[in-house]
Amino acid sequence: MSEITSESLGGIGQSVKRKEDLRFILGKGSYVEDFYLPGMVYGCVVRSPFAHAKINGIDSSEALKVPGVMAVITAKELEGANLSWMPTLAGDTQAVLADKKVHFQSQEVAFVIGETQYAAADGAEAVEVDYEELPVVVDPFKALDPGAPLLRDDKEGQKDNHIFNWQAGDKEATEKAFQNAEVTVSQSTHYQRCHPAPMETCGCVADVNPGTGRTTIYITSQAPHAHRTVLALVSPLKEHTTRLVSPDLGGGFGNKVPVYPGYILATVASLTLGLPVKWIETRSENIQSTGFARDYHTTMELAATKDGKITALRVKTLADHGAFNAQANPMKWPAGLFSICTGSYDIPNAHVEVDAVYTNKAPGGVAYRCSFRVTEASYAIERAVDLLAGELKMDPVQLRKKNFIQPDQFPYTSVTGWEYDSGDYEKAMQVALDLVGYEDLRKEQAEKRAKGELMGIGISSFTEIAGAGPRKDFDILGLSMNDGAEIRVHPTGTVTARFGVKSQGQGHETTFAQILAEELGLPEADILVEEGDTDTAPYGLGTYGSRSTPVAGGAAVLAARKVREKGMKIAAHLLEVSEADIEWKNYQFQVKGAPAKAKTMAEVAFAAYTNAPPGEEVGLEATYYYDPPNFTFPFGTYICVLDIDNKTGEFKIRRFVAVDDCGTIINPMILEGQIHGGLTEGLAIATMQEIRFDDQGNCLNGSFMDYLLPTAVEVPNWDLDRTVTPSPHHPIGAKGVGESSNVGSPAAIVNAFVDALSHLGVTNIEMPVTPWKIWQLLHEKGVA
Amino acid sequence: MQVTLENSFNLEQPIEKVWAFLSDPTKVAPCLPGAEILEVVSKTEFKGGVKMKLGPFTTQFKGEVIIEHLDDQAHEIRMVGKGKDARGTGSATMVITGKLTELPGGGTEMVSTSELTISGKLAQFGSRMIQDVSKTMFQQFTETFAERLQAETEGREAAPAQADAVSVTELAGAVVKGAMGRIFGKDKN
Repeated sequence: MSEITSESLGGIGQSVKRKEDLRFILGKGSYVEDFYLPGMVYGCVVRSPFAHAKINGIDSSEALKVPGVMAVITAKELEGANLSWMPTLAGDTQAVLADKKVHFQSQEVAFVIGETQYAAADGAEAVEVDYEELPVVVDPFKALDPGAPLLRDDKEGQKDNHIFNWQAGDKEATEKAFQNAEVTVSQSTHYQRCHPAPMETCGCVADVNPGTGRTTIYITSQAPHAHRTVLALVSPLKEHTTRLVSPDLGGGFGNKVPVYPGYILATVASLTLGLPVKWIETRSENIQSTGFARDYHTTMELAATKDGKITALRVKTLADHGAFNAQANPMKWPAGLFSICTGSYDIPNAHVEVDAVYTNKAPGGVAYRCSFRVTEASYAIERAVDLLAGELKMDPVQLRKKNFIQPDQFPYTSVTGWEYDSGDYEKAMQVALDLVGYEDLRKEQAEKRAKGELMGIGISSFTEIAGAGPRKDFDILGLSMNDGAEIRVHPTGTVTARFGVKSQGQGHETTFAQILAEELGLPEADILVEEGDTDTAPYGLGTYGSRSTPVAGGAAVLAARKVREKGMKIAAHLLEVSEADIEWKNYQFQVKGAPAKAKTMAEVAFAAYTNAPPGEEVGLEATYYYDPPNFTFPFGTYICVLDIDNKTGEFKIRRFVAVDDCGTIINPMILEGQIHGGLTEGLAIATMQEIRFDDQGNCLNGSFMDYLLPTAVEVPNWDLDRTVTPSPHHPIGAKGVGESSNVGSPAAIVNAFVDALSHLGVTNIEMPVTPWKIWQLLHEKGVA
Repeated sequence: MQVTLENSFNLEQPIEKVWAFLSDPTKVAPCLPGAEILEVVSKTEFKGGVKMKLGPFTTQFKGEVIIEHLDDQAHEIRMVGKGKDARGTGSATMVITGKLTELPGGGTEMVSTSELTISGKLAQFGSRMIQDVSKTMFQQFTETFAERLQAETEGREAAPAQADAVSVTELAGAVVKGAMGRIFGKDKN
């Protein structure tokens, strides 16, 4: 028999082609929109044109006259079922349908059900709502003015628009360090409101079957189990008779984490009519009403010695949460993991403060391809370090090296309380510097400057915090952030494995199969990974925050090891030796000291159903729910090199080098794809994307005409490299990689822009950095 | 969103004639594409409407026009029109000021500002175009104003009021053409 190797199995570290791609290439994928059930009808949401208005009345009579319109649901109808308001993931309440007033433009006001999509849409147009406009709060700073209109008058005891104040670190020690500092820098910045804008918008097909008593909801959900639990908690639906199926998802990026009113409305409509109801958002509805990301107004300050040793960090943020506090964050952590803002640096004093406010904007605060506010944190520290380098006239590379947490300091406890698992920041940075040719670029930059040409080099040496999370501290609405894996090894040695997480394009069907192939000694091709169906998948909180590999990946490994434990008994029985004489080696069960005497996992699986040892249960299955002991801390260094036209402000990214360290790599090809995607989204945020509002609260870019996605034309070539520093606490040392590139890249890009213009006295440019903004700066400085 | 437009143009008519026309909303309103006065409540209060077509849907703003300031001596007028769509898809407020000055040679110069504030679907979907669309609308207003004023002076029947819905999409087409003209240097303005 030929030797079994990781390569022959398609195990960990192999660039196995993605199993899921064939069906997508052949058009055989199955998205929510692809579900057509017999008798299915359609729902369309009537949305508010105003950002803040009193509702004096809703007249559905004209809508009901539209041919094909079957029913109109308003808040009044929902009140009967106690469903006009629902809890948000942050423990606030959100209107399912506006009752007394609307709080943001595009808020849900009524739901029209029609026999066709067209009838429903025509019906929605015909619903007459009598609004009385109220003063609008758009600016989060003005939201706190004493005279500001009270937005959430529905909340008992709410006297102003303030949501919470949250602090981390040591305020007093930090103040003192600033008072005694030789050098300080300060910069206010706005990490703009943006939107994940997945290619597939949100939607569902709800099928409440009065005959079977079962409810099936095909839904665009990154967390189907969590969503089912929420539904069971707020509605008459029972968890065991409700099945949520999250089929193929066309991207999520955090946008499909919250529970949206549309899901509830389609379900209520199905319950009322006894027919399946489909509701799918339009692009504009998705951008204007579903979970936005970021919107942090942050002042970052660093204190340091003259020779560049950082002595303190102070970060103060005003967070614009929109009309309802619906951000997706663990209960104890209202600003998520934002206090990771000391980044890759050994900073002895830090104080972080976040105040959140209500405004008349869409609710959200989801993590757009990042782990709970880590991108905002990473951006703040990486921009601040560059600012300090500028102040000290020090090379930003040298300043970073001087302040990095050193390899021998791990596990490292930061002053804000995080225990970093492992890292070697300087090593990753050196790989990036060598790859980009840093010294030569600086020389070139000096020559170009002498000629009046503009060239910038931007660095970001980020540290992420991924894999939420240890259940002692992390939960979503009280649910522990742990995840399950269930493995069934069939008699013929093939495997069905199910997970509580949910891929939205990450390639779980391939990578989890690879982890199991490595652990079980079976080829990845014989391992089927299933996710997203609450009837079959083990419980789990879903995929976001780069948690699938750190949490569910751990569950996969430990479930596989349980299978192996039982396999030892069966192998001992088959080989007629005692269990103590069996070892798992070379991907099979071997007799210690006699490797020729061995049984493969496939042989053991067959025996598990045909020849199990006496007293042993038949079958070969295992389930494991993994509670990670800690977070993982992926890191890396990104370097962006760009040229700016000094007359027009147009720019071109010449090089972008990304060196990532995400610990053990499961599939290098998928890893590269993930990094390409994240860098592309990072570029979009840094140079294109911002959800803007006018003074009346009108959303000014609620379509792809004004909210831009990068295309192949704008995206530069990404130069990737990596270092590998495994996580010491994860069963296979993996840290997660899906989001690092979005976390680390915006700061590298903005640092490059500021670097290109630093000799003109420019210290900050707000994202998105557009040619127009650059031209204005150049014009102001007398260059263009 | 808010759009402010300033405009000045010369008319060949004597100032009193222009003033008589300008200070009468029942005469001015039909000059604005899609607008009409439906009811005269008093000398300074009127009820009216504006129909607009944006892609597949027609929006009909209904509301009131109030003359807030009228100075026959200085030939100054300030009108505020407020309306909202019957189906609740949006609202608009328009503040128009006009001031006439006699020109040497008998003509009249009209300087006007219009400040348009809109909320709702028009503002949402048209933000990119609304400035140019408003400009085009205002140009049409100016042309119609001059034409109707001329017709009245000559005692002939003015062209029937254009109370049909004004198509923002058509205006947008005109805007695109205008923009192309600017790009290719056809429009020397």
